[in-house]
Amino acid sequence: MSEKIMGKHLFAIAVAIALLLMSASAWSQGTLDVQTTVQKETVTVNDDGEQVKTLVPAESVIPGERVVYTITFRNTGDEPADDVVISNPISENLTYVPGSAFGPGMALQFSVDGITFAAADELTVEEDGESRPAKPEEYRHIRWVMQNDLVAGAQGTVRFSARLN
Amino acid sequence: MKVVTQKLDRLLRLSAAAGLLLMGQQAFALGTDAGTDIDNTAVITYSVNGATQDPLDAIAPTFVVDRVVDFTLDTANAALTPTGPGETGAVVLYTLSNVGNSPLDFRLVADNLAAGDDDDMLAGSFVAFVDANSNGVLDAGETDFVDELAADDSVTITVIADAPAIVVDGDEALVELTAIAADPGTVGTLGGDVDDSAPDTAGGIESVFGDAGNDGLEVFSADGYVFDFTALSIAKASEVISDPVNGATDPFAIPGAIVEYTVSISNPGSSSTTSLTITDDIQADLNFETTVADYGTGGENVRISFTDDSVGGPASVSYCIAETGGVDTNADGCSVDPTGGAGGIPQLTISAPALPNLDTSDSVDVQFRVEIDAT
Repeated sequence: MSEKIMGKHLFAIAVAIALLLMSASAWSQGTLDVQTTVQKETVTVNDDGEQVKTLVPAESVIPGERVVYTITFRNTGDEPADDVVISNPISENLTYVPGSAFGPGMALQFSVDGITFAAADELTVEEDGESRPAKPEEYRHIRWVMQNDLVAGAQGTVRFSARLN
Repeated sequence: MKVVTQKLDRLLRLSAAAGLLLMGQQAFALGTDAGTDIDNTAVITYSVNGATQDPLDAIAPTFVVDRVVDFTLDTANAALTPTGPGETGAVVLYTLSNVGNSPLDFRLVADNLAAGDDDDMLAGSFVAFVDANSNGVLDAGETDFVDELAADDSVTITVIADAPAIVVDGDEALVELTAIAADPGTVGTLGGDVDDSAPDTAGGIESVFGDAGNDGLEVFSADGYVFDFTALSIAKASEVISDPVNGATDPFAIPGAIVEYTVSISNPGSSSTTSLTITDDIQADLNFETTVADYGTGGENVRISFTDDSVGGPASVSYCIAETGGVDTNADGCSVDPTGGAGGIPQLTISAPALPNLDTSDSVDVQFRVEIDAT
């Protein structure tokens, strides 16, 4: 009999702890909402005979065409998010377009091996026992490191282009 | 100053990198295979109030690599194919290279070039095919189309055609070979022509014409045939050597007279002769002179004077013995068949080794003597 009562109490305590945890997480955890799009660059000639580059959704792409990835993130929580880092491995069939990565308020880093990240002008690779600057087409990872907090309700965007091999 | 130097340095590095990138792309003309899915997933990490949060995946929509139809058609011959009159199955070779990113079939069409050359091969005699055993004939098991040519692969295309019976030496008959990209898929079967009009769809593999002209077809019309054969010219002359009345002085062609025939052959054509043979029927009222003292003491009765254009004159003179029994017992290429001529008259045959092959501009005189029937 007393065991039953004990069991009920224990259950109630467990539920209370669970509720506490849930509310605590809702409290402290700012939520990021993320969306990624991929577009491809098409060149058309307008009525004035000028070449116009436009971005259209990339559904099918041929080798040599340039695609643009855009990652948009929004802080939908109530607290600022800090230490926001976006890491993007580049697909093996894509080659990074030099100078195409950007993100307002972001420090840009690259890596050829996914382990060592550095700014474009500081990234080196070992070749024949010697160290040389990494070439942009050798980048296999891009990392954006946000310099400031992403305050509640704020939105950020990063983008890069790659060419289909 | 320092800033400028750094900028320059960066510029140089950038342009060097761009150059390398371009080189790299040229080396990999093949490109990503059609139908490949391209994904991109970024990972976002962040903290809130110093507490690390679960990473978020930013997954981009997958796109699929379309088919680039890109190929080249070129001749595989260093020069036009020499062809003689009436020659059948004369071969011209081409190379078709698939530089796109997908296997393809190719429909082949070969015909005479409509205009701009001298002459034509026989209409309807063209066959374009892949000659797997390189024997110049479309055999069973070989196809008159290109079957499943893998990306970055090349194939030799053989075109054969027949020459007209009457042609002019040196005239050119060019071929227009057209290769049309066709859908691959079934080994041994030519697919339909590639259609690039389908709109781009997510997940679908559409075709884009990346070939010259962006039309899925390539034409090569700078190769073909040149009529090139031995255009022999032949002449026959006679001279009375002696007669029974006047001897060798101002002889007349009277019964019993000796007459010397000279058959002159020259080759103004652009090819060498092989197996050149002269036959000459000896008329019934003429008797072939079996021995001619002027030609030699060993029974020689035919004189051959050969002028080799590459050596120049004077002509080199040789003699042969035409056996009147019809059998060339000494195998010198000369004989008289007693009944080989039209209507059973004797026929003189002069051939190799006594008669040489005639290269361009070479000439030869063949001389023999007859007696005008005295009775």
